[in-house]
Amino acid sequence: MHRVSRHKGALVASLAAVAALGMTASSTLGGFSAGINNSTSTFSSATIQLEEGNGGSTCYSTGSGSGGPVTATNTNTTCTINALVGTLDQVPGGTALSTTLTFTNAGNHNATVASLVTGACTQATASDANSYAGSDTSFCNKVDVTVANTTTGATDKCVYPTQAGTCPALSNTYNLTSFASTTFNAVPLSVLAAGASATYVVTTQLDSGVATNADQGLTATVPFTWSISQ
Amino acid sequence: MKFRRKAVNVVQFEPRIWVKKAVGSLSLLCALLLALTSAASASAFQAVVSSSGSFSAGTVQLEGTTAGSVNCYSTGSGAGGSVTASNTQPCSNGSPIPTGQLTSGVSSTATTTLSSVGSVNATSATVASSSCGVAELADSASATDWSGTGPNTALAFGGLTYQAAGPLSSKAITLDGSTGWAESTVEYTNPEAFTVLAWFKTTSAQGAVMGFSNSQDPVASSPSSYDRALWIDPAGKLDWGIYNGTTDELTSPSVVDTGSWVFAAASVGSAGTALYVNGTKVAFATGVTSSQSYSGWWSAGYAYLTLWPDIPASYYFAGSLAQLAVVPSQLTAAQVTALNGDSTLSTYTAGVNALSPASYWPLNDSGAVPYEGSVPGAGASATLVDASGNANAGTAEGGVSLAATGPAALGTSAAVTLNGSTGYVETASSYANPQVFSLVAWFKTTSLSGGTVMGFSNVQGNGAAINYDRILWLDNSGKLVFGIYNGTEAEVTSTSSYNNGAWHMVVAELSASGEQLWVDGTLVATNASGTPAQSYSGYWHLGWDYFTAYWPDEPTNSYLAGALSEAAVVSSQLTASQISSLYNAGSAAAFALVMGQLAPASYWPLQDSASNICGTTEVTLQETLGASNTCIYPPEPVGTACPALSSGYLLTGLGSRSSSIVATSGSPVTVTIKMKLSATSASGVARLHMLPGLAFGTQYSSTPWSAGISYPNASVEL
Repeated sequence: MHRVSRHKGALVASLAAVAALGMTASSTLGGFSAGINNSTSTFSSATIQLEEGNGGSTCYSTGSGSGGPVTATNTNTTCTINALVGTLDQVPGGTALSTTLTFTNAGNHNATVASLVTGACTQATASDANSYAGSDTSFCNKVDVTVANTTTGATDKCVYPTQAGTCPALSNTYNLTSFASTTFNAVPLSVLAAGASATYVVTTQLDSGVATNADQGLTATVPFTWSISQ
Repeated sequence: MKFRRKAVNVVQFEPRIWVKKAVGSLSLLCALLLALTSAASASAFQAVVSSSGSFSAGTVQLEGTTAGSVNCYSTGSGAGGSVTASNTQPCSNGSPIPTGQLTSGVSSTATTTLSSVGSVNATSATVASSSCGVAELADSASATDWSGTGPNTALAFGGLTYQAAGPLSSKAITLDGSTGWAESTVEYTNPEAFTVLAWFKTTSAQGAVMGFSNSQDPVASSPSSYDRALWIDPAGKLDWGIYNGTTDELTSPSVVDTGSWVFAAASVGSAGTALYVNGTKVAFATGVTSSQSYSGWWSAGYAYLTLWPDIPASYYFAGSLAQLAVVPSQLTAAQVTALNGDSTLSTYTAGVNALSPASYWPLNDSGAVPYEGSVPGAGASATLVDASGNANAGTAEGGVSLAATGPAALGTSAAVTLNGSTGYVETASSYANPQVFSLVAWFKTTSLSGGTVMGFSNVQGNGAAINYDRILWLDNSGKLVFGIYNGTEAEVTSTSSYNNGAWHMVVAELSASGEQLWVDGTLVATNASGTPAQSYSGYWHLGWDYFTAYWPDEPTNSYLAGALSEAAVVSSQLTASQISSLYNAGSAAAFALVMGQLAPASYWPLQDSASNICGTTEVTLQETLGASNTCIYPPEPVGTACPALSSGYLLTGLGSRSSSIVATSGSPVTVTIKMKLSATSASGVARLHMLPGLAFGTQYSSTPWSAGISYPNASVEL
């Protein structure tokens, strides 16, 4: 009874039921009684969140920033990090462009799957070309690319071309056309435990052996989709 | 675990679906949909970030601005546009050289501004004189009537302009009535029994449509015999004059200076003389059936008419001319009427050609095609210019003909032909033991006994040599062979034959890594042990070199029976990219620009005129960047201006020259060209339309990226 009096906030129906039980027990057994109320019981879900950074910008799978509501898709389609660097006015055999992308599982649950999906490579007139656009229709073939997994302890070091060792030197054997429209899965990607990070280095160059004047003023674009999952 | 495997399967499977369906610009959207679909269908926790990576190329582009603010771009006539592999375009308008008539007393000057209009600044520049000749008016016939030999190309003089609107939707030339006319290049022996056909339009009662005289240049040198003339008399009527002991003249009853196109036909033959206007016989005489007998040349727009009745005040025609022809038969009235009835250019052209004309000048010329044959008064030339600037000129020896048609892959291009028995080219300078070099040449042959493209021996002429290797030849089967001697004869041989009568570009290379042989831009054979070559000093030869039977694939004939064009020795091993740029240059001008960037040790374009017409003009070319003037021709150190014009700096020596004076964004280069007529030039070349064929180019580092503009229309009156 004393315990009942401490739970004045309980539903009236519950109180009445307990009182009726007490009266019945008292009248039937006429002895002591005991009860347990698990009033703090909770069930909590884990989080798997992906954070991408290139040293200058950070992008989160939840959207605008660290934390925030998690939608059913938990997918951020508005990342502005340019995995191919995006610097304009590249020339054949010019200094290779390289960017380091860091991915962190900002959630509290270990991921067991990681993937990189690249979309088709498309070409368009470069933004600063002033309408001087090369007549080549296979510009993507002329851009050499490698993607290295530089995460400490990574088993396979080269995502593209996929191989166990470090990535080969840039050559036209590995270009944006052959890189595009491909799925890269857990191997050679690093699967991220909670709080763990992986780094990838994307390197590109306009090939000096195959690019001609007809490759001037063009932009090649490849969509990158990085994901981790339970 | 099953749940996890399901998630993996979704991630792997969905992209394959997406890959098949993603097209063009929808690819990003598809990728995003994939991510969303994967997350939703997996029913598992997943985090996805998606973005696009982009890679952008710059542009190297060149703009030339000539007098009158006429702009020309390396992509074509306007800013922007599609960039081709050669990225060198001919400018249809504008001229970087002086206009008007050159004199021997005062220099003429023209300036051109070269601007970098791409997003990447070039690092070097080239200026090239790719060809030189005089503007031609082509003869579409190549008959040999009256002992004529082949096409009777006409040459433009003075105030003659091109591409006016003609009759039957054709083109026409326009003559100014005071200086413009054209002379023909083939001498005929007493044309008889013929018909002259002409379309003309004028409002001036003066000048001759056509004439015939025993002076090829009746303006500079009055003829002693002249008749067969068709002219506009002072009354504006059309006159046809035949001299047969007396001046026999027919005159149209009506005026023809009406400003409308008139179709005229005039004949002489067994039926007498006849004059037709617009298909109708308007005058005739039966008593005169032949003309005065002499050999001579046809002229258009001018005829020497002294002492003829009804001569106009000026012998120069003022108006437009089109579709001139000389038919070696006296046409009937029905035939003339039929021609007059042709309502389209194609039917008229077919009608004239059906009459087997001795000469047929459509006069639809652009004025940009150089005639490189013999020009009266210019003197013959056997010198083959070294355009490298290194003064290793070639000399045509024996059976060598200049000004043949060159490779079609280079547009309007010239070549030398070699007779296969005596013809070869010897060069001026001795070189000490070249060990790293590339030989470049376009060749054409059908020889079944081989022949030399280029070679190196210790004798300048074609005598027996002690040392002879570095020879590029075709063996008897037409395969290309490049041989050096390093204690033994080391050859590299193509697997295919190239004696098929087509033009091919061959590059033979020697370096420490051996011999390489490239044909039409493709590496066809290598010999890593083929190095070094024998050590000696020697001379390069074109079309011949000394052979002995020591060579495993010695040709039966060491002389080439065929043609050569664009030959060079470059003191480096050319890369695949550089060879591709040469092979795909697309024009003689672009080839010269690319070759200039390679700094050749010797470069014989073999575009030389059979006459020394371009040796009549003195020239200097100066480039100005900021306040600094640098003379490119004659070459001077950076910051040194050009000297005064002199006979030491002739147009034939301009060649193809690299320059460190490069236009960059916001810092254009001004090119100043000064010219004057050489004091020694003959009077007969005066007022010819000379075409120097200048081109300007820039290049980014040693990459294939370059930009060029050329001025094939640029002409100046001598």
